[in-house]
Amino acid sequence: MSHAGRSSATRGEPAASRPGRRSVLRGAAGLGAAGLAAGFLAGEAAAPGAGAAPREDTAPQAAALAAHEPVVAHVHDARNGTVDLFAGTRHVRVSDRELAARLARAARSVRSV
Amino acid sequence: MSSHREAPGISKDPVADSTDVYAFVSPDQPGTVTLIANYVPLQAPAGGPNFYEFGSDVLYEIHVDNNGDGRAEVTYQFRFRTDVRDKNTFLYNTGPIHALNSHDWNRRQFYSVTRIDGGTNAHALGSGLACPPCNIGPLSTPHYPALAAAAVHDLGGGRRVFAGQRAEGFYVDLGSIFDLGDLRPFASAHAHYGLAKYPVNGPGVNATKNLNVHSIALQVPISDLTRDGWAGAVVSDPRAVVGVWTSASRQRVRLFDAERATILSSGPFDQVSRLGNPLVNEVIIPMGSKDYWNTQAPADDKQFASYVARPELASLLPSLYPGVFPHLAALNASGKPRADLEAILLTGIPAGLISGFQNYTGATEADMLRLNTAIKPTATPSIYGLLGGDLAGFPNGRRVWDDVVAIELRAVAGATHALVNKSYTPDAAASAVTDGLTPADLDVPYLRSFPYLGVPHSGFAVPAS
Repeated sequence: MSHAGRSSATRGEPAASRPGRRSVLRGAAGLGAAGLAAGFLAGEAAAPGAGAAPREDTAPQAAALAAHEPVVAHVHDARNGTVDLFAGTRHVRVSDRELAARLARAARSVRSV
Repeated sequence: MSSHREAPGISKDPVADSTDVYAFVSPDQPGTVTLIANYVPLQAPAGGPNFYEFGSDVLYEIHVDNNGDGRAEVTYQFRFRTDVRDKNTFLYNTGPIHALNSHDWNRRQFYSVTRIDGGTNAHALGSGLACPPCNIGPLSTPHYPALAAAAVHDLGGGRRVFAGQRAEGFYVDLGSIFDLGDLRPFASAHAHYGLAKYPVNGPGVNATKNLNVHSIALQVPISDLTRDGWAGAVVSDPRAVVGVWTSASRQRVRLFDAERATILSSGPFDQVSRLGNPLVNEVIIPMGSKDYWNTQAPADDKQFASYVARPELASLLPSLYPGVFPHLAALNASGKPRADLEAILLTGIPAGLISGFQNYTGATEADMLRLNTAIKPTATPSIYGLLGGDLAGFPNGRRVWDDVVAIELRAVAGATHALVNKSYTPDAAASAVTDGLTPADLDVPYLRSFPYLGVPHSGFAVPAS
């Protein structure tokens, strides 16, 4: 019986901490709590297991994640509205033209820090 | 080198650079296999005040394939954390470090070991395990051997683990090899491009003689690794053979937070380094594919098989040493794939080619160290392993003292081609070519017991490397 692909890591993350569907959803909710993606919660998650809207997560869970983990958004394709979100050991790709557009606008408008 | 700085990308990331992997039936515990994965290459022992350490942001893994598909049925994961006692001193230690819990040791590392079965089932084998300090000198790290020995941790069930600094045990004349293959013992036969800069034969110079490395060493019962927990004595049994490789992975996103002066990591872990057989990515894979090779799994190595079948180095040898390798030149000109090298490096050696030996894992072409666990250690090992008639040595797994440079040079030069082509007569030089080094060219001896690699050089004793 065959198992691991490239390595246990390359399929995503250490198996010990591989997220289930709920943890992926928590990551998405955490993004909203971090204030990066108003409108993201209604977006369509393309990652496996993340198709349902993450509204079921509670605010304290989201806040806890935001407090401990960096959340990184990468606009993969502004034209198609695909945005890669990284939090903890998770990576989800969402299709949200509005989010991509807002991030692009924000990147153009904000002052350098 | 074996795999030190072997690819452009990983050469800039030494903490994640897999440099050597060893897998052998433990000579003093023949019911066990010892797996050693080395990282952080070319450490100058006096490299303070920030001495070398593992990456707390790197996922280190040792993989074992026991069914020949080039994928891991067993993976051991190692994760490190760094604790700083006092952030208000610039010192690694504020006094002699007499013990692993010394209050005078300011910057310590601890790690966890997790076994993954079938890619999904995780079992914690240990956590909060202490690394030893680096070997700084007689004032900072007195009684270093005993201090490091205390960092050998019993995981239960006959399993032991060690993670920390060791003396580099891989010996190689880098200076000559990468000066256009001007092997010092054969310098007078080198073409020298008309320059004749070094026309006199001489002994090899070990470029790693006074350097250290960081090792992760694990000793486990043979049955922990083999299919169905097999631990028999029948060499021909396919279950006797396991494939071993290591990897290092980093999270997909790294962000430098200048306000906090720290690097934030996020996202899934992606493989940035791997190592099975020594020197494959170093001298077999071309520069344009090296970084990509590091991201791939052994199961997907068919895409690189042509480089093994027609290695660039084999075509270079007759040019670099005119008239010395005429049979190899003819073999190269024939265009025939090097089935001997494909067997040694990608599939294992089938039964019937070498009396009493096989380490064949099937048709899947995968770069792994292949160890037949039914072959017991010998009391009189040869550093040339199989080429020296020692079935317990490379390329049957790899022991710390095996001269993998000479073995692979000789194999590429044609010394092993007669195994698959009885009509081929190797050139006389093929069984003699070497960079001129042996374990005697190391200042620090190997240990007779786990973790086998020698006590690291101290910064005080080796102030310049």
